[in-house]
Amino acid sequence: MAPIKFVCGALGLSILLALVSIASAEVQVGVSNPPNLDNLRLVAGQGTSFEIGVRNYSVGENSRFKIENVGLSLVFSDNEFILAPGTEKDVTVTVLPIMIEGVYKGEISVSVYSLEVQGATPIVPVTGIPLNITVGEPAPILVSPENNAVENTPTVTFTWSQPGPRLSYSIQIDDEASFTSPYVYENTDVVENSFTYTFGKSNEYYWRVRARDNLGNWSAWSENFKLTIALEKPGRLPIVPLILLICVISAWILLIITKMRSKHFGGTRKSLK
Amino acid sequence: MKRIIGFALMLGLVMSTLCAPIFANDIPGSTTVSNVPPEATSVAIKTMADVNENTLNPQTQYKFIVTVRDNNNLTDIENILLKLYTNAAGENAADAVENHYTFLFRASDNTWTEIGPGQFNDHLTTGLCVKPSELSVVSDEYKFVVNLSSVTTPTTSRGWTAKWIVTDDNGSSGNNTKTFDVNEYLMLMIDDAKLTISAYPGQNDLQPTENPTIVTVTANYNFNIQCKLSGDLIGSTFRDRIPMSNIKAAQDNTHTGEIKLSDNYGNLWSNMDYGEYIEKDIYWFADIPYPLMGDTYTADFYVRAIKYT
Repeated sequence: MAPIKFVCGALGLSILLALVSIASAEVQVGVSNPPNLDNLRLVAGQGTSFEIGVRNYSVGENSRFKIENVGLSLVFSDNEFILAPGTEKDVTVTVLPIMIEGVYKGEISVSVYSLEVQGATPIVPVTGIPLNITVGEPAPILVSPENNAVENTPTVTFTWSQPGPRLSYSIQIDDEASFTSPYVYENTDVVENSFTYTFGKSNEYYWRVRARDNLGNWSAWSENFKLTIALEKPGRLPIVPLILLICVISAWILLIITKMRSKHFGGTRKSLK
Repeated sequence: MKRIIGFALMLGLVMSTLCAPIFANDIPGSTTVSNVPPEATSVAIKTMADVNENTLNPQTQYKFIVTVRDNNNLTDIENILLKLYTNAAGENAADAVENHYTFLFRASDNTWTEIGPGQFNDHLTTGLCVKPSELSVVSDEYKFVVNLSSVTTPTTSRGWTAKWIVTDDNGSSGNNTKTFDVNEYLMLMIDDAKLTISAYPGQNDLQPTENPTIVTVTANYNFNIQCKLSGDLIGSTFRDRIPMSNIKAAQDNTHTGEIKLSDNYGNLWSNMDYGEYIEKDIYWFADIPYPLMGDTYTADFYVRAIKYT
């Protein structure tokens, strides 16, 4: 039986360590024996075997290959093996009898998961593996009012700084340091690095800001700043001074009355004498 | 007259020659053909492509060929023993993957067997071993197909000996030897195809989601495991950078043996004992500078094993 081959392998080092599906295969069982291969359509009888060739196309490096299949009941004569650069290995593939007559779509994959140098060379170079660090937008730095500030006016302007150009900001003001929704106030579309808000009552508040870039990526939240709003109630006089004032006025009136009486009755008494 | 006498003499001579067997007597007796000891007349080590080789790679198939001569024909050959051993260990050492192998061909049932160190013909490809197809000849080749373990002791200056011992059915034997060397062998596998970290500026000791990276090494000599970065991590959009020294590698997640990476290889483990499938976990850590532009920063990391010296 002439072996049927298709050749697959590692195309250089670019696919190193990645699982690479080399060939999708459709296996038709029960029609032909010996099997044949036409545009990756494998036609094989139940229990029959055919061969595929695996070639290492890399240059200068031995490669360890692993061959597997998905969706097909195939057994390979060798699942893992090492190939020197430019060499090829025939792997016998047996169609298990449990594959009853029919057409199956599956995948035969070859993965290259390590490199190997054997021989006198004592150093094993391994192709670089990417290290990707995705850094979110830097958090804004809060400027004013400074942390733990006390404001006696209801209207406060918040400012912050931001390294780099940003599209917009989000500001949150809440009466809990944990910023539990619903917030006292939230604005997710602040276009400047300042924002003015008018508080309705005195209280302790917390505020924080985050930035968004033109790709829509939000930064981390800035640190939280605490702000105390202490407002005086308008049109209300202080009671103590008022009482004192009333007392003074009352005392003054009483003094006048007393003087007037003593002047009037004192003259009469003189005349009686 | 002379011619008549000459003719008569010739005729008498011819007649006496022709009639001699008729009048000869049988002489009783017996003849013994003595056993001839077998010889291993020549030996060779060849690649599977039939190229002579004196320096062998572990984990690679080679043909150990002996040409046997037995003047009583090869039907007399009972077994052939192949021993491979380092000169330091000696022929009679116990079988061990590092320095001693024994293989046997037994003619009585045509079997090829690894006596040791493998229990299941681990180092002998029995299906590729070859005996002569015709045994009624006095000389032919026997071929063992052997692959040495990945932890086979490497040598120089012909530190290994292959010895073939051929024995016939009379217990007579002959042998031959050939010296060879074994190359150093190192295999390294890494289970990660990438490392990924999500971060904000100013965060420290961040670990990639893939932590740890499992490195598996098989070597026949002691080794160091080293790693490095290709350089600073460069942002793809704003070209801001994270210095490579902000990336660290350690032996565990408590920063044991931590090294800051540079573009030169640094030892993470040193003088690891040789062996098969030695697994080590590498933990990666990253410190993100502040301030830093939001971006995707990329570099390549490298891991290698190198001979400990």
